[in-house]
Amino acid sequence: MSVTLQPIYTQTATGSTNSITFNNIPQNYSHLIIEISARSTYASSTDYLTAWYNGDRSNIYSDIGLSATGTTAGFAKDYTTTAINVGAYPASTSAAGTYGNIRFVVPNYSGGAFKNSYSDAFMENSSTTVYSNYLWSQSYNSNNPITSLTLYAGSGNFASYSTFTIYGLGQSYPTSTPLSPVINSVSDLAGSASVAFTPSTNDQALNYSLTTYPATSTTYSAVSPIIAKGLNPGTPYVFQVSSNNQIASTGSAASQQLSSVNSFASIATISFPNGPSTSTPVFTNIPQNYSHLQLRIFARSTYSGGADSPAAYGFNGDNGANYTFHWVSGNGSSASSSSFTSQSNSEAERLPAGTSTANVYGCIIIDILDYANPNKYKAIRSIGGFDASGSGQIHFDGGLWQNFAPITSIYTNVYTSWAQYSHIALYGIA
Amino acid sequence: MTAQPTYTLIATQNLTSATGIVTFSSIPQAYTDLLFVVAASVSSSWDISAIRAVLGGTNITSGYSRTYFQGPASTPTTGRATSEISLRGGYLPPSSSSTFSADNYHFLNYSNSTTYKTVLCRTNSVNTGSQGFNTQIQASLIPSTGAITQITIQTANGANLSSGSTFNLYGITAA
Repeated sequence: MSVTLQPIYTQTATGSTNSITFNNIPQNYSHLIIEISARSTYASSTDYLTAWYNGDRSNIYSDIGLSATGTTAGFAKDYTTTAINVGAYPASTSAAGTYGNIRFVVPNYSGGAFKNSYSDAFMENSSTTVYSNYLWSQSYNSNNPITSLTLYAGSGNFASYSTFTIYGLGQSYPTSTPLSPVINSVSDLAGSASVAFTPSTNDQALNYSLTTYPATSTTYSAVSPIIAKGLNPGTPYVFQVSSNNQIASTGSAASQQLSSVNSFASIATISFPNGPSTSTPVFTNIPQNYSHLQLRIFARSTYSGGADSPAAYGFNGDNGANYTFHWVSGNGSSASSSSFTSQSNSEAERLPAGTSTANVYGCIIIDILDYANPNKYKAIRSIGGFDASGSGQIHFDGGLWQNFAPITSIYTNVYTSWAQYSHIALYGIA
Repeated sequence: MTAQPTYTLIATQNLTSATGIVTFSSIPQAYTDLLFVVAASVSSSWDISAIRAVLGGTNITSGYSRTYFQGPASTPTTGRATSEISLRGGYLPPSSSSTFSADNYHFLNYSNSTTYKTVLCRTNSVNTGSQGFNTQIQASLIPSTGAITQITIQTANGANLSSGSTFNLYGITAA
């Protein structure tokens, strides 16, 4: 439903014209509002903007005005004139860069009665003598609808950068049942859904409501899209948008079904509950509808040649020299940093291994941001480490997979094998 | 693979007055990991978080150890501490600074009864005081194989946790 201030047209002066005319004014609004930011080229401090309608220059206009200059108040009136006064505005000897601010309102411009209008004109500059406020009321004593408007600069031309915008103000009321809106798309927002729709085409709707099935809530909005909040993750929902006014509501067809994901959702876990595993576990068919991924590793290596092992990982089966990573770390006695380029996998640090204290497991949390974006190399960060009561390491790692492909699978491995009770959990972050 | 709901707020405590200790008891055993989120300040000029846990019914009051890497000054430092009476975590700023810490403690596989418990800590404290300016990552060890059923937090040097401090315990469930 159009209860709006609709821009119809804007014109900008170039300094060479003394009038601006808007023709073919639409007749489907209730009011016209003309916003004017103007300055005159007239060799004086002030010029006076006037107007007429429909090209009519007969003695059919009248007006009455109040003015204030900061020291005096004035009064003026005109009748049986060929144009109406709209307001004073700065001219060329006024402070540079100052433009008058005028709002000119013409209610019921398309009706059959005489056209009463009003304007508020404000002119201000740094001078103590040249400023004024004008309040005018005008009348076009004609029953003809206004289809064109001419604004006249006065004694000079409209200066460059003067702007004139005509708006239509709609204040119509519904007269019939609104037609159905049409749902265009339903997007998952992890616990919420965004439903985009095309509004009713008969311009009768006062607002739109979004209803979910099964019901969680009804959400109202004047515009598309509408967001339904509080969805139960994993529950399939359908949505309906209704257009509403005082006469009736009309619902759209039901949307496609959507099951919202959790904002932090478990995708899959690989565990080794029954003993060491030499496998290179792979997460496959990773859903592409999250923003980021997180791997949470609780693990230990059976590597007998040392007290610790990295956790290596790669994407989409790629074991080419496409990985770069670097880290800073502390081992309790010294801090260090290293970098590695052209690697066949990336690493996150660091897990206890065979000679480390029994029963000690390390923890690593790896965040892979924007993993499904086909236009970015994949940046990774991780924190991880372990403490074995006398030894241990803590790491902060950054990694890069130099590949644009969305990540659809992740493989991991450690030196020798994963110890019993190790597990690797993959999560999606909305 | 089907995604399952995962991230659950188990309990929260928001302090409306200063207190010496905050306790989360009867922790459900249904989750894979715990995430303990601390935003706290203290009644003194600074102090350090001191976390204790009950594992397998035993309140662990000794044997905590940690390896940390931190940046409280111009040069990062690493260090290790063993045989501590609690899990020492992040620096906590004074309440007078109107700042709170931003600390995460990850208790992975907290409910298993087979392994020692490793806690991954990421702590942050920023205020104008030199002792309360710290960013740190740390691996901590609780040398017990029991399941964690209770967590308490207080301070290492006896300051009270200030009003406005918040403590949230989350459960993370793997598929």
